[in-house]
Amino acid sequence: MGGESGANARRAHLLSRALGIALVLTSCSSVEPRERVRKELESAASWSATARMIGQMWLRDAVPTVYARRALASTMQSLRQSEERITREAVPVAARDSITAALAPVEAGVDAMRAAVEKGDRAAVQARLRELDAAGERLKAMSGSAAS
Amino acid sequence: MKKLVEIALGIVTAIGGYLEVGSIATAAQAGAEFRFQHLWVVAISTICLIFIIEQCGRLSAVSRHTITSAVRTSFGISYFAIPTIAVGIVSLLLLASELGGTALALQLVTGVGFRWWAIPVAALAWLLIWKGRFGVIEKGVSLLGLVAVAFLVGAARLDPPARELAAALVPTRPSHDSARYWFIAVSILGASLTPTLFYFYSSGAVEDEWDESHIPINRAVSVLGMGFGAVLSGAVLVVAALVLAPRGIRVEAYEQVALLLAEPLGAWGFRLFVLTLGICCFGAAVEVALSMAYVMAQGLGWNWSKNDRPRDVARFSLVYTILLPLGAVPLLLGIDPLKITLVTMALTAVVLPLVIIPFLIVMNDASRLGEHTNGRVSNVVVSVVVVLAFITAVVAIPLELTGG
Repeated sequence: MGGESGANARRAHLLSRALGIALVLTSCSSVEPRERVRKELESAASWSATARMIGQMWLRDAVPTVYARRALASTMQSLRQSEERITREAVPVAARDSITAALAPVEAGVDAMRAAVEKGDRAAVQARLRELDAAGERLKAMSGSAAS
Repeated sequence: MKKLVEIALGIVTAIGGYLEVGSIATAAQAGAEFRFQHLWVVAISTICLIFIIEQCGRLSAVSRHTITSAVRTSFGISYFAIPTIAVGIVSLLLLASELGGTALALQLVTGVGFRWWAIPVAALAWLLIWKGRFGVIEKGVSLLGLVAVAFLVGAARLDPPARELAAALVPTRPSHDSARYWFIAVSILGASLTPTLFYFYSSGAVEDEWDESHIPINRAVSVLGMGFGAVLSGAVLVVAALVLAPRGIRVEAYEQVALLLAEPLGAWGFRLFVLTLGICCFGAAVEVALSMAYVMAQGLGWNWSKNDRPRDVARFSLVYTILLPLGAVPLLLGIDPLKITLVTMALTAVVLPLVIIPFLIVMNDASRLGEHTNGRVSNVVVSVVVVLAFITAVVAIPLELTGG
């Protein structure tokens, strides 16, 4: 019961956040920055999904540690670049802050996963995967709402 | 029996040598972003490729001329220079892409950055061209390239929806992001219809001393070799559509492409992907460097043959000796090989008419080909696809670059 209400609360939070972003982004005066932000959000969501897949495949021993470590470092770099590009865009501060807030847990999750892979800590990777699932979903919803 | 072996070897070589950095990258991007929607582009570019390759081989078998020497003698050196410069620039970028693909494969397994592999890979390619005879270069690397069949196995294991695949062979409007859709379509065309492949094939036919008796072999190799080769490219697209698209992963780096076979084939999938990328790109790098040396030597009337000692064809050997380190420069500068690849594939579609239109005129010259001139279907298919590729490229590239 508690789990269900928690899930509902999360869903409501996610929805309100996505709607907020959509509202702020659609109120931007120029279409181009909005389009660029949408593409950056899509790219960030794609990198977040990449990190999840790397983690899953590493846990299955389908990819070597040397690859997973380097690929997660690249993912981290790409996420930071997306964030930097978004902060440079002429979008309202509220939208920018919301996006940055949504990106932060993804970046932290990827970084923590990279460290866990390096140590060979499977339990920690498993835990980071769960965190990334939630953070990635938020990012995905945000990029979806920015597109509509 | 000898002919049958020759046909089989030709087909296998063509299949093994088909996949390279451009076809892997563009097919993976297409599948990840638009699922099966670009399969019709793979099919159309394959049909066009079959026609062009068949013509290249027929020209060499009947006239003992390569495309380059035939165009130069028909149109003169001043016309010859225009497409050569354009194709030369695009081919140099292609060489960088192929060296980059090999360097990235090494990065994936060692963790050492691709920049560090640029010079060793270029040096190894040079050594193979310098020491190897044409048959070793052509068949050796291509046979190893058969490892790319892993993509077909991967696609089969993912059990793709047959009806959806069949429906995707009919052109459809993009489901979203039209500019991006057409840019990827043009890139797939550019990856399939690479001028260096035409130059290499026609020079190879002369190196192997083809005559009119080789026309049926040429036809079989073109149709079956290129046809099955394209199936591998389609398999990359299908795997990407079934592995990356559902997860929302867009291909922006090779690290993402490396995950393609890990899902259907596990640890072996990753290893086979790295082998495919490394071997196919290395083979293609050798082929591109050699093709550019062929074009320069044939165009300027120098001695050329990969079956002669380098000292006997000094200027021909000098061209690939200079080009290989040049191709490594963008990688040493740290430019992302995937970005070089995608730009190169789209630009290839722009320069295609410069290569193909004079070639088609040569192929209709009865004084050169006698009864073996092109038929109407051959002319129409190649002209239409090449002109459409050019128009689409001219429209789609600026739209993609401006984010339209």
